[in-house]
Amino acid sequence: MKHELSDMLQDAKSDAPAPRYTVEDALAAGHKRQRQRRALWAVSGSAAVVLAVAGAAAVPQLLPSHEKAAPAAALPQAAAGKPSPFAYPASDFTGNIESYKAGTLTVSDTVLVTPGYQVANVIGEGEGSKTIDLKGKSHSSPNWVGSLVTYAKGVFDPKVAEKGTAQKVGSHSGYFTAGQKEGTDPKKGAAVYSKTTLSWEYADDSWAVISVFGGEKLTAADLAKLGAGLNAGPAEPTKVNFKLGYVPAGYTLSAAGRTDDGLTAPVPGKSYLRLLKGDFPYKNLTDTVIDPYVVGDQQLPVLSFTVYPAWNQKYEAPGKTPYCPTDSICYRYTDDGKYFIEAGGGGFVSDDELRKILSNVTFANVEDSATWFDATSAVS
Amino acid sequence: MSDKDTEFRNFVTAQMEPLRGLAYLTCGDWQAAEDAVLTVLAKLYVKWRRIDNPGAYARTAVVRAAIDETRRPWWRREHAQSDAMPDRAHPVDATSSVDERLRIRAALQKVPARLRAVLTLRYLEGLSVQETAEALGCPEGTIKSYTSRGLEALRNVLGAEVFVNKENHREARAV
Repeated sequence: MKHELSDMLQDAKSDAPAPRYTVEDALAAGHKRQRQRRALWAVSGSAAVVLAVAGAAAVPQLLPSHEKAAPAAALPQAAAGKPSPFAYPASDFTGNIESYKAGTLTVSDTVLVTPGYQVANVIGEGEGSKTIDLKGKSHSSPNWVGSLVTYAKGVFDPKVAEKGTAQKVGSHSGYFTAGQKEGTDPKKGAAVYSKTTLSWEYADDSWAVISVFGGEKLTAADLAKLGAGLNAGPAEPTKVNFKLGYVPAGYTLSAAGRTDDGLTAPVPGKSYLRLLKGDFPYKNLTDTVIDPYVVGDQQLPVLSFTVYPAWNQKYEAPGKTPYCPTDSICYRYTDDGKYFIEAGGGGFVSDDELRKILSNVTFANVEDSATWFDATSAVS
Repeated sequence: MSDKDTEFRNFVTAQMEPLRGLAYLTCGDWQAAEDAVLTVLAKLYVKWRRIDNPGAYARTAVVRAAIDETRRPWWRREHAQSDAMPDRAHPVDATSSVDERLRIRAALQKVPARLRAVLTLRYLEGLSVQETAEALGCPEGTIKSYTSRGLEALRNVLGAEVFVNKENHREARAV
């Protein structure tokens, strides 16, 4: 389904709940504020007191946001003393989550690696959504339920997870947060839930998080069983199905794999590389990094490259020459036209530069992973 | 009832709902959006006689207040990535308006707040690059970059299905 942006924005706010405040509430709030200001000035007679009052009110907000709350008394002990069966890989851009099954759910091998975390898909039984391409052909997807993310030591801050309820994962301490019912799928008559998460400390200051989405309501026990199976295999270099022969100066690899940091459903043949200009601080994370562009007051230029199957494209296929239908988003198809690469420049490089990058892309045989490139060698 | 109260009431009657929507699209939370709007309207009442363009003032202040809401430490991770993740092309079984709205909201929540504010001001409110820059207090070049980044972030989630009808938007070609 295509979305014109302004229609999309209108739609997103179209089922607003009944307002909590009326016009009279706004008027009353205005009256109250005016009375307060008059009273303050009448008492103080100087701006200094106004500033002092404002300063006092601001103090709690100036506390460091990364300050950890004192841990619940019964919880942090459990992870200590027992070695974890899972250890984070030592080499950059290698993954070591090994596929396993727990009940009806399957955890995949590592599908995304960054300097701070690696990601695996959680797949349920049966088929996922079907997609009709522009020619009317149907394409099935795996029944993607969510993701499992393992963070490197010191990267994850459990301050948000700690708001959940305590939940053991094997011998490790963790927290569970149930998704809230957000609506009903009219076709299935089933509820749609917001994200449900289980976070646990799989080793000292090293956390893993399972997130599940949508219509499948999973309990704390379901996710604990899944988490307890977290399994380390040999650390393998992350591979992608294309190679960049030209990279603008200063950009370096920051994420690679078969999905992106948005943790979206798997698409056959998908590969992803993200390049950053500058260092992103992998610390105090409470989730994957959707967009590393804004880091405090800094703005890190970011470029992204993703290969998709052609049936996933919504524009008319234009051929093999790189083209840019929208500012800073450019495409190039494989020689057989079955796949395409999408480049996102974010306004940091010109469309000409994006076209140059795409002109110098080498595709592996997308359907033969033995021909894929190590991510570190795919960015030259 | 003073003239000021009458004028203010008329203004709020006309603008409260659009401002609520603007705040919601910026911060992604109806309750926080309404709180931001009420705070801004209370401030606006105090300054009513000193502001030439209350609509522009309210819009700017509401967007800034809503962005501030998203800076609270608890906000981002509690509100980001809610509900079902989208696929890129149109799935056969996701044609219901409820699912689609949830999907669009999830996608919007993945766009950083300042970028979302720029997209909202430009493509919902219809502001030009210059007007958006004035509203958010940043250079026009930043607005252009944010527009591009915001669109890209949306497309990263929803796929190539997001487009801008450039004929409907002033200066859209200059992004």
